Amino acid sequence: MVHVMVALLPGIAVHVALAGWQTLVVIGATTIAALVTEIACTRSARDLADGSATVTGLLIGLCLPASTLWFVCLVAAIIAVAIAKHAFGGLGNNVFNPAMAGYAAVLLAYPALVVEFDTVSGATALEQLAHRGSTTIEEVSTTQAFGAFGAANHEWVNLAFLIGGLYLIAVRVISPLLPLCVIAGIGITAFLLDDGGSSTSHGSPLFNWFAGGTMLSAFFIATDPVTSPSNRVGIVVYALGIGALAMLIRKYSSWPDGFAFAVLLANCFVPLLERIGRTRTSTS
Amino acid sequence: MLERTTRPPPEYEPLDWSSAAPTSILARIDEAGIVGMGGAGYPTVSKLASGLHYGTEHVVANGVECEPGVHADRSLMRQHLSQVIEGLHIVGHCLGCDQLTLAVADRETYRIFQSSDIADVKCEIVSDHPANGEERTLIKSLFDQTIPPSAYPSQHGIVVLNVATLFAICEAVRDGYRPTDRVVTVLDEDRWVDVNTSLSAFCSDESQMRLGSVATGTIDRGDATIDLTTNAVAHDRGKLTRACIHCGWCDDVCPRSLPVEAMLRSQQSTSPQDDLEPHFDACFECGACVVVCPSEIPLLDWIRQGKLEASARRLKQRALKRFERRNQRLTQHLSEETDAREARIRTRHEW
Repeated sequence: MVHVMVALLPGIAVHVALAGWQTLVVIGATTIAALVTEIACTRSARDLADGSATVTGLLIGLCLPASTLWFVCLVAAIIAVAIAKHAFGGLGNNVFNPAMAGYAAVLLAYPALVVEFDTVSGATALEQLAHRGSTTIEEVSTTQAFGAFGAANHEWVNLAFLIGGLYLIAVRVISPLLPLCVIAGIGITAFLLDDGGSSTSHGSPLFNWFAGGTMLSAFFIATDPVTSPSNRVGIVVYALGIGALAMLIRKYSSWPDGFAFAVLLANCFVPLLERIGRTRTSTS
Repeated sequence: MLERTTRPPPEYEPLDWSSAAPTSILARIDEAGIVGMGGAGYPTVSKLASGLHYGTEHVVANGVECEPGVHADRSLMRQHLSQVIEGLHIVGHCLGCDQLTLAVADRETYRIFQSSDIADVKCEIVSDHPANGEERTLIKSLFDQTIPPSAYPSQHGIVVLNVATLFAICEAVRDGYRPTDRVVTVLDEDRWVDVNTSLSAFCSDESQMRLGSVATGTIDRGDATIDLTTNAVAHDRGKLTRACIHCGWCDDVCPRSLPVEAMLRSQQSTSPQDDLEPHFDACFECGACVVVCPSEIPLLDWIRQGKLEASARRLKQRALKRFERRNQRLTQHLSEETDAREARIRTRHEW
């Protein structure tokens, strides 16, 4: 888990550089709230050593925008640790990714408070694509919300998380299969939905790889070992599913980004995927 | 590094093995009480007698020491390579076989072997996967030959002996020593240890000790002693154990492709799954799963427990079946007796 925290550092640094010190306040609030909730649930500080609560807190903090109010941070962290993790039996027994459950809960409960507005350019690129009326992709992409190859600012955040993710693969904390399949899922779906720039198109695969929470989700959230399948077939289906679902939510719903819901939906299928994988190994 | 404590004087007459008959060499190995020092403890004389009976094409010195954190055999080979090779020659002479192979997993030993100009022994280097030290896996990677589980390799013309066993054979045959000590990796440091040394001699504090490597050893219950098969002594890391996070690394790394995680879950739950029983028996305790586990769960302890429970369950089922058959027999006997008596009564009435 120390490796995961180290791998998150470049992403946190870019976040702070782009959105200011408030990001640190949000991340600090979610992390401390997650740690306190962990102690309250286990009634001991022993389980803090595994680092899972810290990582949950950090991930929620990174998902929430810098302008998030403090109590929203608390609610997200408490729901993540107390309900999504400990109510299901603690580390190793949770069905849903705790960080995504906490984030999705506040996303649904306080949509106006957590939908991200970039401090520089107003609405983010994904936000503009989701609520743009009938403008074509070319007209939208000339606005300030778009960067050199991805969404403005978010491309650098995604790049930082990509570097952190490659570090995790290099130190063998995660296997490359799962994040690769998430990225492939996004890429394939984006390619199929991309009709060359009409008013319903949603950008190229490259744009979607470097917009929103793609890299954070692919390398840090979907790879949670507890809530992902442990066999190869399961991993491929699970990860492609997350990528495809996230892309479909980006395009066809009013939510600008869909990773939280995509991960939670895919979590539902993990017991089934485990079963498919096991029958395959026992018959072979 | 390797200081040998004073040993009792040789118990037997030194033997000129190059002119001795195989039977006298076997007799010496038998009376010296040499057993497989790689861990199995199989009587070496039985293995060699089987090799002699079935005919042997290859003798392999197994220096592939792949248990995590164990390097006793490696140290032995670095210091006493000539005796190990002589032991290999003795076995080759005894079995009438000149295809001698030394298998190692580390480059350093390989290099030492190459620079020592031994002509009639082949040295093979294999990868250091935790499973490769096991003899069937080793035979598979050296000769691409699969030994069926029901047979011993010696029945298929291949005799595999651990390098420490070969060293003991050399000392017993050439010099007349009975093996009373061996190299053991004690808390990551190799040294000569006398057999029957208590494990508590190495323990400085209250922590639990493991007889064997940190991954594959068994927990000391206070009465464990070093014997000829012990290759390591380690501290238990049990206090660091955390919850299973279902990462599946143990399943991926298992050389037998066993569902390790499911086996752990079955053992930890109150109702063990019966269909996992053959998997427990198939585990040969290489410890690869323990090494990769990010939560540092002593998986092998759980699996050994599962093995014991499985065999206890089988014994119980057999006893139950026996009991049921006996009951059936008794009731049948009783009913036959009753029938006979009734028949007798009836006939008397008629009479």
